Amino acid sequence: MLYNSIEFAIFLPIVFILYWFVINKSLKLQNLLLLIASYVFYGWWDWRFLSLVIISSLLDYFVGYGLSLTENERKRKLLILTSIMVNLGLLGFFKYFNFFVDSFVDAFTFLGQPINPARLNIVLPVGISFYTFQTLSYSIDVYKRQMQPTRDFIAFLTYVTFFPQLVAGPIERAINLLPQFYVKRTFHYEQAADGMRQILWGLFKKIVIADNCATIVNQVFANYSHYNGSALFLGVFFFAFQIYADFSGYSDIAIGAARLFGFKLMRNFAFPYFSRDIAEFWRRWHISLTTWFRDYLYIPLGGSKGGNWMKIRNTFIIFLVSGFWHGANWTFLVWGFINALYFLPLLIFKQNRKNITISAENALLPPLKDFVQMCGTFFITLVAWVFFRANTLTDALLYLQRMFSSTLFSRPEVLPKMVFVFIFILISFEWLQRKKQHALAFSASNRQWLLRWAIYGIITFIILFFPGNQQEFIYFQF
Amino acid sequence: MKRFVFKVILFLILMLAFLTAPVMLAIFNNTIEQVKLPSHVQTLFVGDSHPQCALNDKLFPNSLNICRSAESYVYTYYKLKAILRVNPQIKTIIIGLSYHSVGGKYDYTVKKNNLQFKTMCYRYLPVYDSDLLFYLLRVNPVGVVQNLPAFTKKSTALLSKDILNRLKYRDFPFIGSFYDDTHSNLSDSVITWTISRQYHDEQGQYIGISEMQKQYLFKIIRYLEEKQIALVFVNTPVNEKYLSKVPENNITVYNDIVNRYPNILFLNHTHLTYPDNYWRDGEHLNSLSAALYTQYLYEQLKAEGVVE
Repeated sequence: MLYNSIEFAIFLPIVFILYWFVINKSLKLQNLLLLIASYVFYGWWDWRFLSLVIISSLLDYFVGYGLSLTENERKRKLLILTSIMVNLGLLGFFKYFNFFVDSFVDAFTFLGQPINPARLNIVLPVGISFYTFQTLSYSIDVYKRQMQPTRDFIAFLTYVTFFPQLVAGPIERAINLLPQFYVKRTFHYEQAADGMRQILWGLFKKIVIADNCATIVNQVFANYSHYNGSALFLGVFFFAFQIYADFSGYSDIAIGAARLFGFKLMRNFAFPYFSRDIAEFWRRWHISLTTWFRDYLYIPLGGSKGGNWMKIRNTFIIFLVSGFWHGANWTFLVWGFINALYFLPLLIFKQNRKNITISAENALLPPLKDFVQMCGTFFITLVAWVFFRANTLTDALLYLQRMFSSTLFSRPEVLPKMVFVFIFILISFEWLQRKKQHALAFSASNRQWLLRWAIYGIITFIILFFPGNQQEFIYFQF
Repeated sequence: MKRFVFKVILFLILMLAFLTAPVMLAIFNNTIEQVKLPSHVQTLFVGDSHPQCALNDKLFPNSLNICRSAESYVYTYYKLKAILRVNPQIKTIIIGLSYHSVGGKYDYTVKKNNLQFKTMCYRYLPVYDSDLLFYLLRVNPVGVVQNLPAFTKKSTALLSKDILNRLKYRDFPFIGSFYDDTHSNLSDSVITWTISRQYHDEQGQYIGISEMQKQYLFKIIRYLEEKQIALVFVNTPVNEKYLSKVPENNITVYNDIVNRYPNILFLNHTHLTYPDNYWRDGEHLNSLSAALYTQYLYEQLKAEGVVE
């Protein structure tokens, strides 16, 4: 079920009414309702793959249960290894099987020994990378004794499949989300109202920005050899906004929808395009994944404790794994590698924590230095996005070659003025609200209610009157 | 909780009011009164792309081709009702009735929530009355609700022109015109594709007959009989290869309709032949053949005493 669909517009109020008006007295029934709703939400796409979610959930529930029964370190290790192997095995099979087969074929062909192994027609289950990491985090935290294993079976199943964030995050840690299923939720007006505002902003980002940009991006990337440098620059410029609006829009809707049911999910994006260096960018982009890798990969690898070489090695591992997590294609690995390269000078010169505060906190406009740094950071992310979006490495390199040609400063063949207007609205709102959790985070105590309602109305009208062609969320494929 | 629910509902009502107000105004404030056709026009060509491509109104005295591609009889019925209300000078209506006209494909433009419905539903907005509105709400409620913004957009544009007194009959999107194009693209593959498009679904299965089309065709006939307006149905020429592939069932249903109304003039011109470069594709004429065909039809109707 897509957030930007009629089905979801009917589904969400039904679940909301049942949750708060019909079974509001019983915590267990509320959790059960959320579980059923989550299975319906996921099964709407393809009910057969529900079995995978259930297998993953059952495995980690029983691994957690098993860990609570034994203090024997060998048995504990065996249990956690079972969880890691099965979860990553499922992920590897569904997401990476054909990639490895193709890579072996290419390698053998390169060595003059062409082979012809069987490829499987595998459908990638939506959200598998997200819920796999979510269940894994539970088992690992229990193994590390950072949290008590749960005995509440329904709460655990609901934690894994909680529909607002099931298919594209934020990837919630059990330590944050699971305890919220144990306590009775009470309805808070301000929380729910803010949830609605965040959903509205998420829909604006997805339907107006991402879907409108997608039309141009698809056209330019599919026919890049026919466009001049400036059009190719605009192609990747729009892709930068498409992927940001698409993914952060999804996160906004997820966080907002969860708030309607009294849950607080972690923040996933913190206005990343206002970053002044790449380290700040990665602290603000897909925060739940970045921190997941930090806690479950970077720190176990030694983190930054072992000197510069250790730091550099671990940083490259993190970025390469992060790239590979996004998709089974060499382009994603190169994207990760390029970001690691960007990160390297900051790491070596210990500048990676230089920009940890909000730019121009008490001013309307950023200082010139910050502005130049923001533009510079945005520009280098554009180069990396070419690899993220292109179908093959060859395409990405040819795209960049054409882009950085003498035609870069000629008149572009595509110039969608309305999309620029929408992006301007996005940037303006997000800049003005950069200290808040999201761009429409107005306080209800703010007396300018007429202005607020006018803003909501205008945004709703823009969504209704200027939607792009409906597309799936990009991160569904990851 | 009550405050939250109240505010959400209030917001939705306000949005709905802003969205529907222009639509209601466009429908009920008689914007359609502006669809005044030139006073010399006495004959109207109505229907889908077949008569749109075949009948050149410049070559047929006192006529106007207002056909629109893929127009279902549902829309034709309300379009005629609206136009005839403000254009009493119209004496003759010539409607396209081809073998595909009774086909199930037309259900897609009315009953399915797809791109065709989206295009159609707001194109005909000014001719809506409560009957059509309720009919569409009954057969395609999700489509109507989902396309409400498109309705509003189109209504606002029409209303603003109406307020500025700049509304001409050509501004109404349901008023089509003769498709003046000499381009020709006739080949076996094009014919196969057009047959498949008209008579088969996406899985290649025969799509059957549309009861909705038949029902509204009969309503059109009843309505024009009541108004005492001369009515002629034309089955415009199609290429012989195309004709040979038309499903038998469509031809049978067509013949049943013809036999049901012995007092109405049904002209079946599917057998007329033209050189290959006179076909736009297997089922449409281009403007070269349209010139010949319009003359032919005019002479025939003159001989029948339908036109002067």
